[in-house]
Amino acid sequence: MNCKKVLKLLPLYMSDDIDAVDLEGVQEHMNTCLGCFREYQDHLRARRSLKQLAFKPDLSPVMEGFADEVMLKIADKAQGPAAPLPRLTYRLAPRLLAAAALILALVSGGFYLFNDQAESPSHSEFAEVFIPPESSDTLEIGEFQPTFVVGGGGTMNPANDKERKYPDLEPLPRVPQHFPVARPVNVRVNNRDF
Amino acid sequence: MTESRSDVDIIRSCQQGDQDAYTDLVNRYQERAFWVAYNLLGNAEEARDAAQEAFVRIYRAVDRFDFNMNFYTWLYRIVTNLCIDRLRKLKKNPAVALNGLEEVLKDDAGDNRPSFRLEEKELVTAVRDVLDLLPEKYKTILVLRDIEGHSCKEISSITGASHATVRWRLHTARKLFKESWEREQKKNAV
Repeated sequence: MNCKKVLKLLPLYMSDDIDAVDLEGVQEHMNTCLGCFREYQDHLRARRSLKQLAFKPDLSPVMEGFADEVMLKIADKAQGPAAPLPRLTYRLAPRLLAAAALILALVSGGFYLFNDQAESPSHSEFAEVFIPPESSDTLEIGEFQPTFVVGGGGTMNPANDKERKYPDLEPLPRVPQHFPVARPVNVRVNNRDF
Repeated sequence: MTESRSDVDIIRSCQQGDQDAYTDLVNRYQERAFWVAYNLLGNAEEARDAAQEAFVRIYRAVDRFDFNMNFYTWLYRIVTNLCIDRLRKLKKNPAVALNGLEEVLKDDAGDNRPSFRLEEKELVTAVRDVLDLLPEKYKTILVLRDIEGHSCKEISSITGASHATVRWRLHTARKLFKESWEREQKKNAV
């Protein structure tokens, strides 16, 4: 028997879970091979060290009231053994939830599209990104970029005077023709940044 | 003298709603559950909580008990899994003190038990420190085999791993323990 085989059989040997032929082979090999014998000794030492933790002192102070606490926790959580749910429910529940979520998404999406098309077919909510200031003064590139709050009294508007998607916004004035929109300005609509 | 009821009888009573019968089962296995948890977690309070939680979970699932399995195998499995979960959480938030049992148990003046002599305390602490360095699955195997004394076949039932896997893990665990032990001994010697 060679070292490789002996090392492979060592766990079985140490667990006393080895057949008679292999047992003899391992013992014979360890009588002649110092390396394998040392490996076996190291494992024995590790096991012996761990046995130090096997001693169990009297646990009465620690376990006092243990069972009563367990029964109290059981009484708190339930009236009795919980009845298991039918297997069908376990399998179907995730699928039913996924189907419900899909239907909800379709209905919401359809409602959104319907409303959007009815009110403003060509409207893009991001058209307001490019909004010039109210003043007729020209903005230089890289200069001050104001933040305008639109809604609830705001007056900024891109070059589109069609009725807004948001009914609470007032109609905004036209963009002056001469204004060079060099860079977009930050716009806040209903206290949200676009 | 009243004969104690078997685990199966008690479980059947519990399935019929007899909560008091379950108290007998808890009393029968509470210390074993506590020791497994303590050897895995290293803290008496955490171990007590984990052991209690295991009993509560078992009661809630008692209707689904598989009578082909031993009760203590089921109990050990749940305790082990709860402790592994807690160990993983503790690794992320290491705020719990280890080795709490010596503080809880007082060594009586007239007691001749050798368990808490100073040198043994130090050895126990050193062994536990090294054990705590191991990954959870190897630590579990060492606790169940070398400390609790279960056979590889029993450990296979408890952990759900195959017999061969348990043997291989046990061998690897002892090797890792040995290497960590030597490393710690060298560190302390310096």
